[in-house]
Amino acid sequence: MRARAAPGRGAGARAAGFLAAPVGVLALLFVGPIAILLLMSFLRMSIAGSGGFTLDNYGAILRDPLYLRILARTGAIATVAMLAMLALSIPLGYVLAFRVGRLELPLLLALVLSDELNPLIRIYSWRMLLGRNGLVNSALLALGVIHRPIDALLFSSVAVVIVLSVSWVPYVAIPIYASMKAIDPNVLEAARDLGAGFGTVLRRILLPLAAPGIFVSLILVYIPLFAEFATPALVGGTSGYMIGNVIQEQILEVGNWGVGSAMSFLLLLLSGVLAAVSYRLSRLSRIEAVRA
Amino acid sequence: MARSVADVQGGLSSRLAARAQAAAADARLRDALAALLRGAFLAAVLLLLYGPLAILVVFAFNDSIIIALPFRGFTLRWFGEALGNPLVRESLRNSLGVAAAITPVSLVLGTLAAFGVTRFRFRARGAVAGLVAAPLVVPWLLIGVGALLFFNRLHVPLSLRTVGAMHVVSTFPLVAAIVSARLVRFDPALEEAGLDLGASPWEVLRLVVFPQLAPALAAAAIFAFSWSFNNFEISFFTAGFELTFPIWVFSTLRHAQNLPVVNAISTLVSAVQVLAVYAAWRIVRGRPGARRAAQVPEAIPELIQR
Amino acid sequence: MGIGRPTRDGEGEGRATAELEPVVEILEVTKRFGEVVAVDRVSFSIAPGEFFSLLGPSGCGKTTTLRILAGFERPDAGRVLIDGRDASVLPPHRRDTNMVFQSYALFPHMTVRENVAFGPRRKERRRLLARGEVDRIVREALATVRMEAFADRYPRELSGGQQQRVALARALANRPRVLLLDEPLGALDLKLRQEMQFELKRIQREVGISFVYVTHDQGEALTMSDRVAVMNAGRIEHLGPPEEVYERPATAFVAGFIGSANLLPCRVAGLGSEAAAELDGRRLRAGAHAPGCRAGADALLMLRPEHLRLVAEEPSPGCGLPVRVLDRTFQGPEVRFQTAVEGSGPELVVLAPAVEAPALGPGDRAWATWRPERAYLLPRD
Repeated sequence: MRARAAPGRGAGARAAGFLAAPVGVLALLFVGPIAILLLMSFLRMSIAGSGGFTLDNYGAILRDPLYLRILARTGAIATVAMLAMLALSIPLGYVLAFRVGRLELPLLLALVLSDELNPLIRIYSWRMLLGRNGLVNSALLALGVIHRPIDALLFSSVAVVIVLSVSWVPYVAIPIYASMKAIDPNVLEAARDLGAGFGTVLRRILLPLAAPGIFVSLILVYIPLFAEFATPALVGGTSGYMIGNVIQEQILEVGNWGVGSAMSFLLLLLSGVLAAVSYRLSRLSRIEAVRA
Repeated sequence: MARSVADVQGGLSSRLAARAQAAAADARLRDALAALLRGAFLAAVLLLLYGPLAILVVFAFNDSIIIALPFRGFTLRWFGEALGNPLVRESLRNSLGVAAAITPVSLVLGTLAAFGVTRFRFRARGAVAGLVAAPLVVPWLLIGVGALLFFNRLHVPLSLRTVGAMHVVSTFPLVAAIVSARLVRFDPALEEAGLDLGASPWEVLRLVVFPQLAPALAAAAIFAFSWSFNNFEISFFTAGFELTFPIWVFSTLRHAQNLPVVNAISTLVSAVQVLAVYAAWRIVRGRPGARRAAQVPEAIPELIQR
Repeated sequence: MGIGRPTRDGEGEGRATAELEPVVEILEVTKRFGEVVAVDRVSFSIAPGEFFSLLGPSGCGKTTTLRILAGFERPDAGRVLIDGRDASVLPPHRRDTNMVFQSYALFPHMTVRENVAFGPRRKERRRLLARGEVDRIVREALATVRMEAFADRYPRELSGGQQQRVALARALANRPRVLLLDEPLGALDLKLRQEMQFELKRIQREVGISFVYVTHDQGEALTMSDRVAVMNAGRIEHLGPPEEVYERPATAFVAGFIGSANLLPCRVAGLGSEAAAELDGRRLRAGAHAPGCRAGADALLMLRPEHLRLVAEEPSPGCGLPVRVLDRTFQGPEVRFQTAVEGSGPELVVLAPAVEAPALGPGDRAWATWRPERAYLLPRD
């Protein structure tokens, strides 16, 4: 039963009593910073001080092949990580929702708990593992699988993808699990009863019905992946440098706030577009699922 | 050799029976294989999630400054060094302090927002709901950078206060989401019953609604606290010269090799975090309506889907 | 006082005496939801100690009327008087009514005892009750519904029937002037429902409070009520005691909704003590007619299946029709005959006790007959 919302005259005024503080805080400390970000991106900045309005900052970014390459690499890393997480989370969601019985709650708890871990500690633990003298290399050497330590495991895009995937996977797995949980298991039984093999069940039933969860995970995860900078800073080296690192560098080290904020704003726009597209797709997929 | 019809029929039925048996055995084998595969898959996932942490803990006790095999010997000295380090102590103190300070504020703002958006229907409702949800969708890096520029513009010095302020902004939408999810599933008949029995609207809120919200609020408090403690991106930009624990870890790792001291303090912090969440889970499970708290992880995507 | 149809308040008071001040008066109450008129100028009054039912199909406005009485909906027009005082503007927590909700609405985080004590504690807070009183009231309320043994359990540990009793005790503990019940037995299975009907009636008599009972189950309403208000599309079509509503319904809707009825299209051939219908050229006597009948107008002749008998010979004129049997069904205590009137063809259902049922089968011809006072004329709209 849904709670009845009070409509009619005066509802706005009564709501305002509750909403004044939260909206005020948001207006000041959320909208404010974003507005300043936008503002700064149009300012001519130099070490000496700021000048008038200009589009130079955006120009500098969009014309510089280095920045564009880094942006492309960022997109590639984010996309590969996202795909890897989806490849892991869809079977994981399925197994958790339908196939583990009593273990469901403890396993779910284990998933949620892994996110409690301080992200920097997690990044560090992988750095320990992936180095030239790290455990992964030592183990592979000892097993005779390789004869020389794999350098590319650390301080590379590969390392960034691995660490990002492991860090964000709970945020992908849980929405997918939740949407699979909402599927009536009788539907799967009926499909099998009608002769569908596993591949068909996956393609025609599981994926369409779990689609809302997949799109939610996109909104929750794909966008933040673009803005990551702690992980690439600690395990990415120079070949794993992402746009987030560039922004951090420009703002905190170079002091070029004009360019830094322009980049941030571009990233914000990109996030907005991705969010809108994912949202649209998730709405559409829900209608399709209902119709199917 | 002549065979009677009965013989042939008998032979046929026993062949069919054998085939059925074989098929059943096949199915059992397939089921067993599937179960094995599932088990291996789950084990691999758990290994990925927790394995590195386990290794990190192991090396916190290793009597060697280098983090590599072979294992040299058991020692507790890294723990001593870590806890003796004034920067470590300061950063932990700061992180805990900020988390403790922002959690109640975040709970209040989040609950107010949840009530405001779910209980009243007014024209700007969609826009307000969107605004409240927005901080959850904007990457933290951008919030951090924006905040830095914002405070600079307003000539507000960066300190733990600015960190706290931005933590509040980033966590109360999540509180709002959790509380909204609970409010929306609330049976209106319960509140009507309260009124009908003579309780004023304020008493109904206090005696009927809030006790039902308690598990959701507890879960939200846990989320807000640990989010704040663990947060790096936003704190990094808004802390100025102050240290929080994640900032300390980042700076140390940026400029140095892997250090057993980091292992030691990470082990301690992680142990406390796991125990704290587990304890909270146990407490929440003991109350009526605790099943709702267990559904909180699903509440987030549900809410985002609105 | 119902729209278009005079209620039979005068005749029907029965147990509830018309001279006493009514506990509740609903006057021309109207409620709209957007385009839909849920309650359309409804009026009635309830006497002290009366068991009053609002009966009707889903969407007829009975629950909305109840909620207006309780104070959860504000009427767009009309007034609600409780004990002679205008309660229309009073919020629910200030009215002297209490409601038993369809979903019971027990507070899940409180024990049975705490649930029942909730109302009295509010009164204690406002110093309307002495301190030790609350415990005594709770004990009495639980005893009335026979749930003392469960006082320290939580609602989720109780069965549906048990929860329903606790909900009742919780409402009664406040000693309201009138108790409102919103389809309280809907979620229970048949046997339990029948038991609870007797329980509720017993409790109502014991406690002496007026009950306003909303239901769509006409059997329930007829069994328990002193008076029934049959509602349809926001209006009261008939208000009166059960026997009257059953035997002398004011409209065709009421006739069809309560029990089953044969409604034969005919014309009014006579009114008053000479009430008669003209059907297929025959003049059939009727015992009474509904107020809306006009001489010569289109009408319906109501004959309840259990009042009809099938005989071989033509009965005396005015109380019989020739029929052909279409089907015969054994139903345990009765046998059901599906027949059709020869000539014009409307179907007639006859219900005969199994011990006396004639040996007629499909295709057989017979005469359906009845005692003239059992036939009833209704206006056809």
